[in-house]
Amino acid sequence: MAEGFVSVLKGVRFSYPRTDTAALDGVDLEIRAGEWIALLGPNGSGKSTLAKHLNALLAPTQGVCLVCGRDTRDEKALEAIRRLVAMVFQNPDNQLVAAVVEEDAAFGPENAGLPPEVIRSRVDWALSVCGLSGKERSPVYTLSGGQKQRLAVAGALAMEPPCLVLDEATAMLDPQGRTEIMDVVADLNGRGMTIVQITHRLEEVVSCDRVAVIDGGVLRWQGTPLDLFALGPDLLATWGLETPPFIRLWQELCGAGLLDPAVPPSPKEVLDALCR
Amino acid sequence: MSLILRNVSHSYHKGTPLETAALRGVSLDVEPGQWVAVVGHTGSGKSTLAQHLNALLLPDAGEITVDGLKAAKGSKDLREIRRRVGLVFQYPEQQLFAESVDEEMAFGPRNWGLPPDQIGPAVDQALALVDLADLPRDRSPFALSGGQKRRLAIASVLSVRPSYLVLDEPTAGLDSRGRRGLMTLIDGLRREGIAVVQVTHDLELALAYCDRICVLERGRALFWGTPQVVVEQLLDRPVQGLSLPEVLAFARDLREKGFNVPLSWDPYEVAHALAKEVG
Repeated sequence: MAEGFVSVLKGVRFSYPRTDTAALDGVDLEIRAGEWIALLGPNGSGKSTLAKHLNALLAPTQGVCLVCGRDTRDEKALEAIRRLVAMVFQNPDNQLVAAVVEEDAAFGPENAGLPPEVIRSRVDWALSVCGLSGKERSPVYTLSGGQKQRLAVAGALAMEPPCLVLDEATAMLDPQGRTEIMDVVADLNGRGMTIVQITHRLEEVVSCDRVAVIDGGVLRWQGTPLDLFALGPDLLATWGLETPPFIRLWQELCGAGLLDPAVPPSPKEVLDALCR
Repeated sequence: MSLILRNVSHSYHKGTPLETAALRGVSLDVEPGQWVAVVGHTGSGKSTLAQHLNALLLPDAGEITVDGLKAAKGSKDLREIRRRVGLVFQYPEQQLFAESVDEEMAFGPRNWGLPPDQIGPAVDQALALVDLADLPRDRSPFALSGGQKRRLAIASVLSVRPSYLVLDEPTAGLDSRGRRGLMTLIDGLRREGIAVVQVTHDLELALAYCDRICVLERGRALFWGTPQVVVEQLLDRPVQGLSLPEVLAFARDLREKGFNVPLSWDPYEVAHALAKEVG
């Protein structure tokens, strides 16, 4: 699915029109095929601005952003780039276009002029991955917030992109809706899709491969989620990040020598380890 | 002086085939200076309840009184109830509309008929309460940061000096810094004697900050009490769509395995108990 996908940012600077400060101030980042990377940072850090560079919604003021070798400043490459990188935004109500579930999921493939039988099979596949099979004919307004957001993901999937960018896609959902989206994302990554997840919730990055912290438009840190947690709550707080309570418990237990730090910070694994 | 709900019920689309009961016999007391959380899953009736607290919606059955004033159809006290109980909707920054901070802030007090010489002081005081006293007053509200916009929207409700403030999901979309800032702000309001009712689906947040918690499920107030009391009830009887704090669920699982740890949602408390137990 993601074979050969790669996105490279070199020295990316970006300022919004009529502002003096740079929203991104020299960002170098490489996103590789099949990885699940989280971009973390407080409100206003530049993480959404960075996300919008990944599918050429924004182009760098300075520096370069390449998606599979295509320059995002090249207008002739835009269509190809947007087929490679799909985006899901925060508010599901702002990104659903049709009145009925299956019509919404079919919007992309229909616009791409695909044959009806291909559209059908893609829509069925996308809806089933997102747990919306059986809802094909439901009016969109009858869906819950979590279901709507899963429909937004399905609409993106129907274009079969190798890379999916989620820009705070769980921020407006309740805890159950958040879990639903995270389950879909984990499943997609398991199938080889490259995932870029923008969030400020550390709970959501435990299972991703790599974390990049952005603050003040600058990439401050990169590493695995466990290395990030190991930096300690105080440093994380300076980046506006809060260590989830269970991670703090896990750290305390590791620090006290009661737990091998190789045990991942999940309640089930920690419980099993303690009972051993 | 308190806000009292007794057996309040409310249905939408009453008398039609679409009739749905949103609240079923909810009772609740909010006292001055108290910080109350209304917690529940999406669709549990939280927002319907919030809109009853300032008589935006009126009960089909049951009774609501605010400092003795009755919120019922035809009551002549509705206007005063709406002044005493300020309601801040979800994403209140979406309702900002004026060209300057001053205009935005003066709108409420002017509409409530405050004498012109009192509007300035009321606005100053409200901005100070949300820590925006230094904001240039000619600035456009739309030029503010997300967190500032939200605090300005809250200040605009505070400008008519309510005794109760109801906030529907006030932390939605804020990062942890913004969330903590807002919690500190609410704590300050309560020290000023303002009672706060916070509608949220974040049980962890409610446990950490609030004095009393009301847990709603399908329009019923299932549990009501201090965080400790509500946690014990939740452990006995899970509520649809409301997950326990991870640390608390972990402490419960530890106890089932024979570890002697307290039923706490505080990670340090559980870790220390475990250290004593194992070490």
